[in-house]
Amino acid sequence: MRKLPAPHIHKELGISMIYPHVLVALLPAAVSGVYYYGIRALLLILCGMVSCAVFDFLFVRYVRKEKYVWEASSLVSGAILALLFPPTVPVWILILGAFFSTILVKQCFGGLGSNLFNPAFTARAFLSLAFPTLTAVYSEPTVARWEVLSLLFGPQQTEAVASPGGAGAGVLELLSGRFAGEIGTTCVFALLIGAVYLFSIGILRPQAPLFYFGVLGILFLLFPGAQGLSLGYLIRSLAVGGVLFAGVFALNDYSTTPTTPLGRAVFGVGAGLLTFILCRLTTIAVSVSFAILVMNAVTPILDFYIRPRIFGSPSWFLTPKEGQKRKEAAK
Amino acid sequence: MNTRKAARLLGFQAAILLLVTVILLVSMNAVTGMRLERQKQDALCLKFQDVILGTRFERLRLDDKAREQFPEILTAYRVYSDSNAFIGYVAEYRNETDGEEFISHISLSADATKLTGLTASDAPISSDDAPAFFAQFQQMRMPAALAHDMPGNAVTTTVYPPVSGLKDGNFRESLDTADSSGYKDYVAIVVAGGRITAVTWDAVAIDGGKNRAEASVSGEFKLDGDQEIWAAQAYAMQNMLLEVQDPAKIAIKSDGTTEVVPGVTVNVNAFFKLANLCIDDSKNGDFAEPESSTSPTPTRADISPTLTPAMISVTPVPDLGDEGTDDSDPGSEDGVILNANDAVTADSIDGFGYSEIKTQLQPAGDSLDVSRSVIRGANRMYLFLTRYLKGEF
Repeated sequence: MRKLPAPHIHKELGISMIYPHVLVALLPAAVSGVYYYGIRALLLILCGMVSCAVFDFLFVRYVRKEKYVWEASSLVSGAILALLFPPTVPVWILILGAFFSTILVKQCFGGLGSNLFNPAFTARAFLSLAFPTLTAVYSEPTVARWEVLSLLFGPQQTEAVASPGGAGAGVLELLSGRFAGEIGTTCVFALLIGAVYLFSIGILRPQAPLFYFGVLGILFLLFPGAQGLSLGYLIRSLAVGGVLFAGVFALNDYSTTPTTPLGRAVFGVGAGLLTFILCRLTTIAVSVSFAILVMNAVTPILDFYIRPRIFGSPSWFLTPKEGQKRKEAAK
Repeated sequence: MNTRKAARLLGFQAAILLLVTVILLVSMNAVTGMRLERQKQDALCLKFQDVILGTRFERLRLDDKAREQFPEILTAYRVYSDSNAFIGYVAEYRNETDGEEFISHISLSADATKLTGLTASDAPISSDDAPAFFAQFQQMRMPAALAHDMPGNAVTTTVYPPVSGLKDGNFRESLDTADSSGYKDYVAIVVAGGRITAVTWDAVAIDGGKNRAEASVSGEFKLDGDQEIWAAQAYAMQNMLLEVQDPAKIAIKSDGTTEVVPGVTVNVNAFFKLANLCIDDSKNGDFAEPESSTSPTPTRADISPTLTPAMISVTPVPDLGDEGTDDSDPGSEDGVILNANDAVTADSIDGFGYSEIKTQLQPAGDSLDVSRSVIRGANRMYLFLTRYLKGEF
């Protein structure tokens, strides 16, 4: 703690500014998606944002019958949701995802700040299970920038050819995101620009992402599988399937991650372990989503046992005696 | 910080991020683009090296019309040499025979008149026959056909005599009642020089809609199971009548179907009845009134994708002139084989008239159908390029 003379002023990034900043941080990823996949990527991102905002407004106004106070969290959820899908996904899937994430995951739990799970990643996991064929058709970047039929009719026959993962792509292609994948998750440097931006203005809390990437990096190095160990392999492991995207935007969600630095570090370790284990059983995209959802469910427990450190207190952790006291106080 | 100032700062930050991202994206993609293009070109060189030795491949953009008319052409490229000289075209073509698919690589010269190479490594041709068969495709003038299918070499071609007493003109008969699908069958024949020279079998929709043949081509009139579409079957029947000249020479079973016309599975009673009536009309001089059809009968080109080689039987029509109507002519007896070399062209191979065929090829062993399929691929590619160079696509 720095000791400075009075007078003091409290400067805090409130909700009204945090989410617009996150939107700005998502901009490089969105731009790379539009650059590679063209007009339909742009339309999908806009559709995701508008759908989430509309569902948010309708629920608050007509179900909860409260005055709607506009904030940009629904736009962020919608943008993240769209960026998590390949560009061939039809628009109705995205609208369904927006409904699921906004109504069932966020508003039914009490709205912004009360949701247990990350809305966009939960919707992504739900849609991957419900529509596996429609949400896993990948298109080669830069080849169909003016294709729009897929927005209505789903993946077109000519583009159901690309397999995700950037197999065979060089390091530069991996860094620039020039391989088949989701709209906004493949471009490493775009995501890094967003991360640096969030960190520079104090929104990105680094513990969870650093531990997440650290654990995953170590595990991928120790168990490289049949592909063998290489720089390309390591970058590919972190770039494909939204690992980096999740690290920057989902592991930094204020509502669904622990409040303490240590809690967030544990969260990152858990998410990294689960992602690694699950990706040996299913696709990396599904593994990332489910790892985050499982850790979201654990967050209240982490917050309960790993409390904010009181100045002068010897321990970060709750002793059984203190835990009992807290439970009684809660009653 | 007030809201307006905060929003302005946010906008400024967003603009900076946008600019940095775009600059990085464009510059990195310029570098990766060159590398990926080289990789792609190397892969294409390797892929087509058996048929053309090029170093740069430029993909032909096929519009919807081309894709619709030539769906079997998967990809096509212009090919350039080391010195960047244009040396020809190459394509990947999907062949099909007896339900089996295989891919062939076809290359043509720069003026698209010669086939410079053709391979089909996964074609069902024995390894003993394949080298000799595919060697024929080097520097070969197009179009081509199996020598076996050419009229002069078709040793089994039988030319049937016409029904005696036919008067020249147009004759048309139709059923009085519609069938359960709402169509009234009709048959129209044209007699010239005492021979039937054209046959049309179709059915008019009583509700004023498309004729049955056209409806079957467009998919509105469907037959059960995996039968050929009705128009293709009607076309085969027309062809058979043109060949044998007399419906009585086509055996039908008691259930109204026939086994002697390949691909025909529908009931052909109406065709026989109406064709016989038309022949009677011709004998009696009962000419048909000119009548405008409610919808056009599909041409061979419309239904050609559905025709099997067996259904497109070679139909040489002898130019008998007045002799054809003479009962004393020895050729008027059933089963007499006339000299097929006297025949004039009445049909074609892969859309090319016999007189257009520039090269005759030998089949790969006994694999006649596979050989035909490979040659058909070459002919289709030639036809596509001819039309492409005319600017039709």
